[in-house]
Parts: sequence; structure tokens; C-alpha cells
Amino acid sequence: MTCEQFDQWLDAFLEGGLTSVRQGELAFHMEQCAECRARADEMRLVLAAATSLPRSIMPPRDLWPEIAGRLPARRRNPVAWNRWLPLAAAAVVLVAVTATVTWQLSRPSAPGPVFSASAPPAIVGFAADRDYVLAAEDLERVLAEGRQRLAPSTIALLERNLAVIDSAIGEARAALEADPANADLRALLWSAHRQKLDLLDRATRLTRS
Amino acid sequence: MRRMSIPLLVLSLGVPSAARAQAPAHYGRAIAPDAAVRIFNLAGTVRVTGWDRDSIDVSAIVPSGGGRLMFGGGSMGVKLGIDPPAGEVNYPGSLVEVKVSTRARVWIKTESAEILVTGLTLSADVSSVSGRVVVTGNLEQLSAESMDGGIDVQVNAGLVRLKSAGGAIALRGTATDATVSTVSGAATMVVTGVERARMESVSGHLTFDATFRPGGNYTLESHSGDISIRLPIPFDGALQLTSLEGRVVNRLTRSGVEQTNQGRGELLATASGKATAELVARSFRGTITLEAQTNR
Repeated sequence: MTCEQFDQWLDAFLEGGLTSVRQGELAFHMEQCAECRARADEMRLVLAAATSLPRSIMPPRDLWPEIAGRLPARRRNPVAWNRWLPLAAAAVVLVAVTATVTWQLSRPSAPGPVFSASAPPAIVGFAADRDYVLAAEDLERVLAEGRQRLAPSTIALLERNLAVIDSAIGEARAALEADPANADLRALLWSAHRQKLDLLDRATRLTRS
Repeated sequence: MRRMSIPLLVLSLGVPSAARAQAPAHYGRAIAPDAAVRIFNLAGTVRVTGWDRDSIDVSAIVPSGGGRLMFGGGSMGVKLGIDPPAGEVNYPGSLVEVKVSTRARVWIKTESAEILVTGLTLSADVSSVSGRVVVTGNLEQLSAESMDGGIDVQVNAGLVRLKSAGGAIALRGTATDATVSTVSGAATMVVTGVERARMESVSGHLTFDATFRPGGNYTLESHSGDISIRLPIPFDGALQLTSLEGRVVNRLTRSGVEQTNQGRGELLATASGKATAELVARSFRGTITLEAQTNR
């Protein structure tokens, strides 16, 4: 594999979207080429940083005095701030987990037998699994507080889909306990966790709109 | 005399008021061709059409008790929509029809209202809770979300992101980079020349019907839903399909399906042509089927 080919596949490699053959080739190339290894490390940092970007860009701070001057005086509400704390905590955990799992998924491993469940996946999933659970619990708490702002049909839809995801997470987790080295299982578990966090995030945004 | 006056009074106040509310409201003004346009309408319909003019034209039909149309902003950005009646939970939906420059950057948010977008060329970001979303056109970027409503997209686009929970998603056309995500809804992607595609679901059925691009990368994941992969004959790519506790059915190539996961699942690894493109599909217990494209 050339460095140009490595560049071409780097994004997919970091996202776990390559066949075992290609993943092995990239991992092998990375072991041989310090420059590409450094580029992959740099890319991981960029991905982790991108994950932590805010959903929208805040205006410059110097706009605030003018805006504040036009607003009627209002008592600060400490309870409102408390509502944001779990969200902030969940966001921090999500960033940390995503960065960790991305790194773990893309950690170079010795090229071994391909298309085999016993191929070294170089992923450590259970710590990340726990962090995802904690992040989801934080979002669920926020969602529970804003639940009355959602239509009953939306709540029913959410509960139905969260149950589907929880069932999938339970199945994948149980299977991973029996076969901790299975990279496909880890990818499916990770995907279900991301789906859950994404759904909870969308639902909490609905409660604030 | 007094008995007669009350109904008359009600009629004289109520009828003209209802008639006023139901009359179409209309706004129009010049805006920059790439202006940001933010539209909200909780219930009813939002219809956005791109046109070759540097102006925005808004028409709305707001039924009695449905709230009021608001419109504000400047030449670089406009915000408009229906302010729902205060304190009301159930109110009639409104129709908001907007014509904007084809290069406007449009953002739409609804609750149950359906969203229909056509003719935009730059970007659209649409979100609904339970409304249906339909988008057609040649867009650089499209992001569409609906919790429960279906999303039906027919575009030639650069970047496409479609998300739902229970609603079905259909993406047709061409796209450079496409991501489709559902929880329990089915998702279909019938695309040409896509460089990067990701389809994911937890229990929904995924259908991927595509032509590969050299160097393309495609990932399909569904925990318990089936995955159907339809490719042209011949195709140029390497495929790795794994169902950990389900089946893999190969109706396209001569490669054999192997057992995996201690005999509980099946795996197919096959390649054709120069195999510069890669497709990875994985499911926990869904059936993955590889077959030839038909009727494209």
C-alpha cells in the first residue's frame, strides 16, 4: 500500500467501515510508515475535536452588553442552570467516549487471518459501553424533566424506539460477553449506543423548542 | 329585541373575524440570493419552492384559531412562520407557501406539519416530529429529520443526511456522501455514483441499491433488520457481509457463504473487478441478501 492509498482510506479506517482485508493493510502500512502513523494520530485528534464542536456558533461576547441593556431585569434562576448540567456532563462523556472508541477501533493491529471472527479487532469496548450508559442516563434525566412538553404520541414513539434500542444493546452486550474479541459485535453495540444517544439528544432538543 | 341582538352581535363579530383569519396572508421582499431563510409551522403544511429571483414571496392560509403569520428579518436573513395561539394544544394547521431564491439556505422546523421542498440548489435543513418530509432537486447539502414521519428524497446532491426513528426513509438519485439512519423504520437508498454511504438501523429493513465509485466506501448496519444489497453486474468492489446470528444469502456471485461466530452466523467475502470500492454490511440476526439490480 502506498501513502496515497493510505490517505484515501484513512477516513473509513477511523470509522470502522473497511473490510478486514483493507483494515489489515492500513494497519500494516501504519506500522511501517511513521509519517502515515502521525497523520492518522493527527486525524484522530481532529475527529475528537470536531465531535466536541457546538451545534451552533455563539455570537461574539461583545454583543451581549447591548442585548442585556435592552432586556428587562430578571431574577436569575438557579434551577434553570441545574437543568443544563446533566446535558453538559452527557456531552463531555459523549465526546470522551467517541474519541476513545474511535481510537480503539482504529488502533493498528497485526494483520492476521482475515474474514474471521477471531481476527484481532484491537478494540476494548466495555469501558466505553459503561460511559455510553452513563451519558444516556444523563440525557434520560433531562428528558424526564421536560417530558410534559412532549405530545403523548411523541412520548409513545420515543418509548417504543428506545425499547427497540435497549433490546439491541442488551443482545449485543450479552453476545460480547461470550465473545469479547468479536469486532462486528463491538461495531453493532457501538452503533446501537450512538443511535440511543442521538435519539435522546433529538428528544431533549424537542423539549426545549 | 334583546333576544335578537345577542345572536346578531355574535354573527357580526364572529363571521368577519373568521373570514379575516382564513384569508391568505401575503408578504414579499427582496433578499440576497444566498440569504438564510428560517421557517416554522407546527401543524399543517410548509411548501418551499426555489425560483430564479432575488426575492422571497410568502403566502399563508391560517384558519380561524390557527394562530398568526409572522415575518421578520433583513436582506441577508428572514424568519417566518405561524405563531400558534397561546395556550392552545389542539389548533388547526396552516399552509405556508414560500418561494425563495434557488440559492437560499433554508431551515424548516415543524411538529406535525408536512414539509415539501423543491428547486433549491444550496442547502436545506428540515426537521419535523411527525410530519412527512419530501425533498426534490439538485442540492449541495441536505439534512432532514423526522421522528415518526416518512422522509422521501429524490435529489442530485453532494451531502445528504437523513434521520428518523420510526418513519421510513427513501433516498433516490445521486449523492456524493449519504448517511441514512433509522431506529425501527425501513430505509431505502437507490443511488448512483455515491462515494461514501452509511445506512444504519436497529430493527428496520435496509435496502441499498447502488453503483459503486472507484475508491468508494459503504457501510450498512442493522441489528435485527434484514439488509438487501443490490448491485449491477458486473460490479467493481470488495464486499464483506456478516450476520452474526442470521443468514447471508448470495444471489450475485459464485463465492460461498461461510459459517462464523461459532456456527451461529454466516459470512460472505467476495470481490469483483479491481475491488477499489469497499462495502461492509453487518447485522446481529437479520438476513443479508446480495442480489443483482433489476428495473433501475
